[in-house]
Amino acid sequence: MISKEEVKNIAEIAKLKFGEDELEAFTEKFSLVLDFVHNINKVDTEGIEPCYGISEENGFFKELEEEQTLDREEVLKNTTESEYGYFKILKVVE
Amino acid sequence: MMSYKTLVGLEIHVELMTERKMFCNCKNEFGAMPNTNVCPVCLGLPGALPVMDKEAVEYAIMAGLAFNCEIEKTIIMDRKSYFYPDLTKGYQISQSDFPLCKGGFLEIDLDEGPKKIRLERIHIEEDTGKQIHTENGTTLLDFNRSGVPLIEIVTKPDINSSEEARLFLEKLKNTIKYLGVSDVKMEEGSLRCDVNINVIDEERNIRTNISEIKNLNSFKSVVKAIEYEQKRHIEALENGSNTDKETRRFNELTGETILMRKKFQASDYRYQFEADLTPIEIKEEWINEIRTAMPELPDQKKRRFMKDYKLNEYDASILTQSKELSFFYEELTDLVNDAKLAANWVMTDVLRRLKEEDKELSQLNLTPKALAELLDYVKSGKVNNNTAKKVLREMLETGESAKNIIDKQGLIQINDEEELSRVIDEVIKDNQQSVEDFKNGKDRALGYLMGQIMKKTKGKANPNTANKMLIDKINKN
Ligand SMILES: [Zn+2]
Repeated sequence: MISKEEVKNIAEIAKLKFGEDELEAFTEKFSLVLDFVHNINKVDTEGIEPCYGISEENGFFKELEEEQTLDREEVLKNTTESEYGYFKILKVVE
Repeated sequence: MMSYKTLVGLEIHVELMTERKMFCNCKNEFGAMPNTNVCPVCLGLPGALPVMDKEAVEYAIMAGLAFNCEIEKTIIMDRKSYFYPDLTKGYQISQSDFPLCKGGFLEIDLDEGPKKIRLERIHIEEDTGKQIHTENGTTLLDFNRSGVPLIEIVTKPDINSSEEARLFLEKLKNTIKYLGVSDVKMEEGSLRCDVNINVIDEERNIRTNISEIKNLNSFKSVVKAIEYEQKRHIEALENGSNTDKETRRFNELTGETILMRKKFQASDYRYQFEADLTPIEIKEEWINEIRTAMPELPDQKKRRFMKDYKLNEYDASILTQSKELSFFYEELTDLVNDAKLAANWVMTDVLRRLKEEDKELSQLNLTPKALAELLDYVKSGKVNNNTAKKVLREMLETGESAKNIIDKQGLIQINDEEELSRVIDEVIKDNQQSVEDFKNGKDRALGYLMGQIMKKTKGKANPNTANKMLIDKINKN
C-alpha cells in the first residue's frame, strides 16, 4: 500500500492538485494500479540481458542536408499569446 | 579546536559549438532572433523524431579524452522527466546509467604541488529553451537554445576550498578552449556551474547535508557562494544542528544564498530509456581518429614551452593559461627570436595591461607583430627598456606603430659617450649637494642624479652607460 505522503509527493512532481477527500480515494486506486503492475516482478529474468531498444540494428547519426527549420509565423501559429517573436506565458517560478 | 573539512563537487554544463543542434538540423547559434532556429523536433511537437548529431558526440569524446575519461562503447540516451515551461516535451533527452565518458581527472596546481580532482562522469544532453521573466508577471520563451548539445561534467567531491574550485574551473575552461569545442563564456551561458557542498566535522565524524547552489554567473560568484555556504554549514555544526538537503540560489547583490526548493531526488526524474533513439555503437577506430586529431592541450604546451623556450615552470604555466595568450607568445617569440625577452614583456606589460583594464587579449589593440617591432628596438639597444614601456603604452592608446612613435618623438637611445658626458657634467655641476651626499654613502642620491640625467635627455640616455659614467666621474672628482 502506497502512503498518502508518497501520493502527495508524486502529485507535486506531476503538477496535480487534489483535495484531502480526493486524496483518500486516489491513494486506494493508486495502490490497486501499483499492485497490478507489480505482477511484472513475478517474471523470472535470471540470465536475461537488459534490452535498450526494440531494433536489432545499430543506430545512426543524422544526415546534415535536410533542415526543417520553420518560419517564425508558423512556429507561433498555435500559441494563444506571443510578443516580440517569443511565446508569452504567465510567469512560473519554483 | 574543531577541525572541519569542506567537500565541494561541481556540476558544469558546457554548450558545444556544433554547427547543428543535437537531434535536428536547426542551426546552433547564439544571439539569433527569437524562435527563428526551431523546428518540430526541437519544439517537441507530437510525432517529431530525434536523430543524433555526430559532431556533438565527437566533441564530447574529445572532452572525455582531454579529461582522461574512459569512453563508453555504446551511446544510450535516457529521458529525464520534469515539467517546466522551457522544456516542451516534458522530458529532457539526457543520459543516466551510461554516461558517454566515465571517470577521469583534471590536475590543478597548488602551492604544495599538483592535486588531482577526479571526475565522476561526463554525459551528453540537450539544452532547454530560454526564459525571460518580465516585470509584469509574464515569461517570454525562446526555443532557439532548445536542443543545443551540452556536456555535463560532474566532479567527485575532491575540491576542498573556494580557491581550489576557482583553479579547477579556470583549468577546465582553458582546456575546453584549447579543444575548441565551446567558447565557454559564462556571461553568455555557454558555461554554467552548480556547486554541491557540505562540511565534515572530522573529530566528531558528523557531516552536514549537501546543499546544491544554482544561479552562479561568474567564477567570482562560485567562490563567494562556496565561502558563504562553508560558513553556514560550520555554524550549523557548531549549533549542534544540521543543514537541509536542498537547492539554493545565489544572490549576486547580497552575496548570500537563499532556499529555492527541497532537493529533487534522482528518482523524481523518472529516468527511462529514450526509445526514439536506437543505441549507437562507438567504434574504437573512431575514438583513435578523434584522439589523433586533438589539438595540443595546456599541460602539453606548458611542457613544450619549458623544453623549447627554456622557460621555467612558473613562466610556462602563466603563458599557457589561456589559449590566446599562448598563441600570442609563440608568434611573438618566433618574430623576435628571443624567448626570454618575449616572455618578460608578455608576462609583465601585456598581462598587467589586461588586468588593469579587465580585458581579454583579443580586445587589446596589439598584435604580436606590432609588439615584435618594438622589441627589436629593445633588443638592438636602440631604445631603452623604460622608454619602450612608454612607447607600448602609447601604441595601445593610439594604435600607432612602434616605429612611428619612436621616429616622431626622437626616442632612439643616446649611446654616444661624448653627448652623455656633456649632460652628466652639467648635472654634476648643478647638483653639488647630491654629489656630496653620494660620496658620504647616501645611495639614494645616485638615483636622484640619474633621474636628472634622464630628465635632460628626455629618457633617452642609455641607463647602463650613463650610470657607469656618472659613478666614474664622481669618483674622479
Ligand atoms: Zn530543430
